[in-house]
Amino acid sequence: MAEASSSITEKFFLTLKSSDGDEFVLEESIAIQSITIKNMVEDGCSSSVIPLSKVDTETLIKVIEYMKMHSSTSSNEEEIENFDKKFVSNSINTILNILEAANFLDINNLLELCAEAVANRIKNKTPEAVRKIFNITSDFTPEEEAEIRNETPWAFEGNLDHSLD
Amino acid sequence: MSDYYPEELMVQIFSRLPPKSLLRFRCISKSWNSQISSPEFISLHTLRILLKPSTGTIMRYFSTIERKERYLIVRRDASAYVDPVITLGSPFSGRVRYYCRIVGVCNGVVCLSNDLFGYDNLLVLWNPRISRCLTLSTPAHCCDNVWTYKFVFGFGFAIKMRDYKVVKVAYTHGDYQDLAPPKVEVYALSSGIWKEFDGFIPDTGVIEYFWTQAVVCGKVHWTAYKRTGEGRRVENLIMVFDLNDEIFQELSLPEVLVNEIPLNLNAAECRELLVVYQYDIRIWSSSCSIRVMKQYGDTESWSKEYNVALGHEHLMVLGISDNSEILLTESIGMLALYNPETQKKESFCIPGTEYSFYFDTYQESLVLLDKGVVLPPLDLPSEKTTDDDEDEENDAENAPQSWMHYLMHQYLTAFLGAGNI
Repeated sequence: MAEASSSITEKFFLTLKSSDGDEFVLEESIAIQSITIKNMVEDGCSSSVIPLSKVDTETLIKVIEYMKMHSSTSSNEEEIENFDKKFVSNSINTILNILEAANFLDINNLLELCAEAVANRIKNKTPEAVRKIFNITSDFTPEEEAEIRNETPWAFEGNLDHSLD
Repeated sequence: MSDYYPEELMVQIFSRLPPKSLLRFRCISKSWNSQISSPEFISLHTLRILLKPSTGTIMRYFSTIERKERYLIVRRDASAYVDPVITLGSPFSGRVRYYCRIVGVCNGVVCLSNDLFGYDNLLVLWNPRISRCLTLSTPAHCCDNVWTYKFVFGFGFAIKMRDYKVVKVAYTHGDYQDLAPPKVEVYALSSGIWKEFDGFIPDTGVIEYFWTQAVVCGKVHWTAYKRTGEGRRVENLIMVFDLNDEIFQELSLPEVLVNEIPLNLNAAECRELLVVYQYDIRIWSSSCSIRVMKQYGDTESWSKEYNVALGHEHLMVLGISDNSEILLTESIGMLALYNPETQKKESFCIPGTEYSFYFDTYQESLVLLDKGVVLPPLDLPSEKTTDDDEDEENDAENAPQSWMHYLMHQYLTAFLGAGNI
């Protein structure tokens, strides 16, 4: 058993393994921002490698970046704000992947940041662009779609964004 | 990315979108159309809206040029960009002489009653931004003969049940002396029905026609009076109806208002605080004292914050801006911004009838998307075509009208820029 004085400075490390098989070593105090990981640690799974089968390497790197910046000890508010701003300027597909990971890892702040960011990015888009981004096929007949458009024509006015990012 | 994005995460994203985007994205697919129009989604979306500060304002007046009721909505987004003013006609479209009473505005929904200039007892919930309107079913009681009753309404959001409620207090006409207990009914939007209220009803009266409601902390407030002892002596107070718990309560007014003429008092809301306007209208002078209850529920915290004095002009206070300027109307339908410190006022020639002006914060929402009836577009050009005999006249007035709207826009933009009401 560690002495009380040394337990303050002692750092525990966890190993996270992405779906691509890459392993990342991370301080436990940082990693437990993820409730999923925290629960695993509490259940005694921390000694071995924690497999994150739903998170690929690219996404996991981003998530770790985020958790490091947001861990309470190391960053000030302004730094975090600037980091978040830059973070959400990633491609929309990257943010969507991070959002999925944040949901799986149960990191509420990250989930909110990403959901808000995607909403901001798509709010001026055309329905066609949104369909492509989310891989949705329209099952409306042209008449049915026209009916919805005619209900609130003003919602389709203005400079709409056709881009997919 | 995998084939389909998880629906629960799409709901997370979509619930953060403004109503305009969501109305557009209804045509993404059938399942998204029904998702966006579902009560669960609308409720989630509304709760997210409530977390953000109100970004718009709504103004209503009866245009003396057009002889029509006009609604203007100004939106402001996070970057303080002000959208062009949205001008709308009344949802009653011709069924109301002059203009209707705005009972209240809450989460994008306007509650209207035609009790001012009509006698068919019509009550309507209207979301002007999504063109949806819901006529409330006629209450079971107290409308057998509308001439017998005068009505006092309250409208607001009961956050505990995430439901919108209308409370209707029906007093017997001319019953000033006896104050027979009124009949009370409560309408809930979720159920779509009126229920007779069987709880305690206070023996307070409310001045007919000139009452206003103020919703603070999920409770509706009206200035009211109560008979004390013998004779005609009355004392003023605030009658409260808690929309969540459905109970009546009372709040004391500051001492100096207790024996005021009830007609001179109006309840209002300003930045989530309860406010009372005390008018003093005489032949050669007119003024309004504005008192704020700084700590809700603490009757010791009433504080006289502003005084508006306008010489011989009649006035009606519409709201108070963040930098303590007072928006008001003068007798001939002039909208003005008054600075209580310098006592200077800036007038704008908005041709509307004196008491038809209404001003409130406005938060766009999807409420009623699942319930209301779609109204035909009521924008300016399309309405014009319906007035065949007035066409020429309208064309001739087009120039001043667009000038007026431009001015109104400029004015509201400046006002919003100065700080929200």
